[in-house]
Parts: sequence; structure tokens; C-alpha cells
Amino acid sequence: MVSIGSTPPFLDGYAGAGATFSSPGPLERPVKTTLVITKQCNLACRLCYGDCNEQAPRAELSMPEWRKAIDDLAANGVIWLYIEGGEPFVREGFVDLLAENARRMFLMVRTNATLIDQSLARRLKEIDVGIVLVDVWGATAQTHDALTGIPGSFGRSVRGIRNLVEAGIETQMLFILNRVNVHELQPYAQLAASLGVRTIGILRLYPLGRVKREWSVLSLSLNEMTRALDGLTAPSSVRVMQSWHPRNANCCWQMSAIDPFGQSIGCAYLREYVDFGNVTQMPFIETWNHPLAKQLRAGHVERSCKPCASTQGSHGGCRSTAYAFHGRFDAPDPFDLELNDGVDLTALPRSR
Amino acid sequence: MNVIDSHILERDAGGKPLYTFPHPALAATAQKRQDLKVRPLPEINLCMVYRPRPARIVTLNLSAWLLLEMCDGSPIGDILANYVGVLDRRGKQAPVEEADRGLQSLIDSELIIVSPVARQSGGSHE
Repeated sequence: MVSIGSTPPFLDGYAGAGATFSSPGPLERPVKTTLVITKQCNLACRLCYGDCNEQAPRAELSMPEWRKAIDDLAANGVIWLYIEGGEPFVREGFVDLLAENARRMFLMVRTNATLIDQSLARRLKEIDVGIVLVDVWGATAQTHDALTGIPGSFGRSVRGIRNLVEAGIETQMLFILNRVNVHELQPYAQLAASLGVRTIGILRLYPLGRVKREWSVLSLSLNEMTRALDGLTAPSSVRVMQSWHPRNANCCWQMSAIDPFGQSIGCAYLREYVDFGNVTQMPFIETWNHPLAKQLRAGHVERSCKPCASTQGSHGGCRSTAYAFHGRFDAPDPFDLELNDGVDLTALPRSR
Repeated sequence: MNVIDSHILERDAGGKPLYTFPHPALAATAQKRQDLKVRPLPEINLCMVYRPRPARIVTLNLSAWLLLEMCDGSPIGDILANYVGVLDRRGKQAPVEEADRGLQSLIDSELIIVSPVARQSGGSHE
């Protein structure tokens, strides 16, 4: 692990206690990595960005290979892992992998929670997992199960959330806003409160995987999205996270990600658009230093959104969405009110 | 709780900080936790710290980071004096509120362990 002497070596940059992320990146080395640990999943969500199924389409990284990759990440300064799937808990050995790394890295796990019984929840608490994020697509079984494709999945996810909360794990619920569930946004916040969940994340729809094929059915217009967000009044016990303007972060400057097959993809939302190399064939840091990865980290954009820059310290919004709609990585993010320029978000360009 | 009272870091007539801190609370010692993973981010003048058990990520600005690295088990008064002195030698101002906030954030985030100093017997033969 990185260590420093008694005095920060760059004290000349001292700016007082008010120093913030006013001018982020580019980072020389990674600090936070997303591991898309599997494409296997026990659900069949219409909102799946990975086209995940019960069986992986081809051989994924083995657990020894993941261990090696994580060791490499740690050696390069990563102290924060965000692990998602597929459904991570269907991978044999996954819980052991968490236990092996909890002493050296902050662990966040994104799951549908259907497999989290009381025993597993207690084990995750014992391991010291930092945050568990649970995908719940609606406030009712009718809406959620219609989007997961699996009857009964809502009840199983809610039970998993109860187990996590009861075990004392920081548990957050994630809601991908779309045309099928937008009417349940308000009751969703109330559901979270009733379950003892203190944070919900309202996420935008990304043009990836199955979502891309159903884009015109699922996507709302920007005005509809904005109205839904503006109309949400969360219970006082619930904190709402969302990534629309003016919190429209361009987070490429801090992100790195590896897919189930070892491809370094910068960010899980860039999975269909970039390939920086395979970590089983080269050191991770070489993929981190891929020219396109460096370009994305640099945060160069054609136009910057000032209100977002002032709240997020970064410019131009999501690069994945910008590329999907404009075909350029430095294009404006059309999900940003200030940068939309009349782009119809219900119509995804065919070429992408 | 403020561990530093605003009167502690008084300056002399020339505006220089006084390096002695007689406030009783400052006799307590502060020790950086040994299980932290400290990840400097010099590119953005910040430092990220992973604190296990219970797991939490804490982002520190330079002031708080400097204070954290100075928490070597010394009395808090000495740590503050060292902090003010390091900045002073570099021609930087170190407002008392800033040191207060920085140290308080380290305590709140449980990155340091503050221990009261055991009373000395003072030669008593009781």
C-alpha cells in the first residue's frame, strides 16, 4: 500500500481547509475500480446492461484470476472496489473473495438481494462490506417483476433488503428511471423508508445491453425525467442520490473497470464502447494508460456545464451517453438540461 | 465537541503563532489508527483513506491529512504546535478554526485514537 512520510510531499499545494474537488484529475493511478464479476444472473431484467443470463456466454475470469487482478489493483493504489454483475452472489467463491479483501479495500456490492438470507447478511456484516446496493425497479411486485421477468422476485429482493438492514449493513436501493416505473417513484421512496433504507439512488437509463434494444419503449424524454425528479418528495429519513443536472458528473477522471472476461473498460457504462486491453494478458496499469483511457480521464469536452461543474467539480456529464448519442467521446451529454440542444432522448441513433 | 478552544492558538504581537498550548484537553494523546489504508491523491491535493471496522471511505484535504500523519501518539498540544510550525516555516497561515476542523474530522471519522493521559503519581507514596 502507498504510504507517506510525516509531511505530505505536496504541501506547497496547500490551499487551506476549503480545498475541494475544484479541479479534478487526471489521476496518475487508479483509486477506485468496478469489477463486473459475472454475467450470470438469476433474473432476466429488461433493464440489464450486460445481457445477463443464468449461464455465462463464455468462460469468465476464474476466482484465482480475479484474485490476481485485485492484487494488481491494490499494488497500483486501488483502495475501493465496486462489485456488480450479473448477480455477484451466484458466483461460487464470491463471498470468500470479499472476505479476503475487506482489510485492504472499501467494498461496495451491487446485487438484486434475492439470494441474501439472514445468514449471508450476517456474514457480510462480519466481513465488513461497506455498502450493499440493491436493484429494485419499482414500489410494487407488479412493476418490479414485470421488469425482472421473474415472478416473485420483488418479494425476494425486499426480503433480502430486510435481512441486510437487520444485520446493520449500509443498504441502498437503486431505481433505474424509465417509462414503466416512473409512476412509482414517489411510493418507491416511501418503500425505502419503510424498509429502513436511508439512501436511494435514482439512476438514468443507459443505452446498453437489453435496454438498447428496447430504448424507444423504455426511455422517457428529458422533460419527463426532470418532472419526475422535481416532483419527488422523499421522506425525511431518506437521502436521494441522482445524476441529472446539476449533478451530472463526468466521473471518467476517477474510474476504472474490468468486465467478467478481464477486459479493462474504464467504466461499467462504457462496456460496449471501449476496450483498453485484457488484464490477464498485461498489467492493469498498461490498460489504465491506454490513450483513450487517458483522454477520457483528462475530461476534455466540447462544452462544459457550469452548474454541474460547480456541484461536481467536473465537466460535460457522462461520456458513455455522449458517445451513444453523438458518436464522439467529447460531445455534450444530452441528459444535461444545459447541453441537450434539443436531442430527443426517446430516440437512440441507430448506428450505436 | 471542539477539542481546541479558539484562545489556544494565540499569536504574539508580531503575528507569529505561539507554540505552547497549556489547555488541559491538549494533554491527551492522538494516535493514527494502524489499520488505515492511506491513498494520497496529489493530482487533486486530497487524500483518500479507507478505514475498516466499520468500513468507511474518508476524503481528507491537505490540512486534515497533515494532521493525521502527525498523530503519532504525541499530546494533541504538541501535534497542533507541530502543525502550526510546519506551515509557519513554509510561510503559510494556519487559522485555528482550520486546525480545529481538521482534528475534529479525524476524531469524528475515527481515524485517530485519542487517549487521555494517565495521571502521574507525582511522587506520592500512598
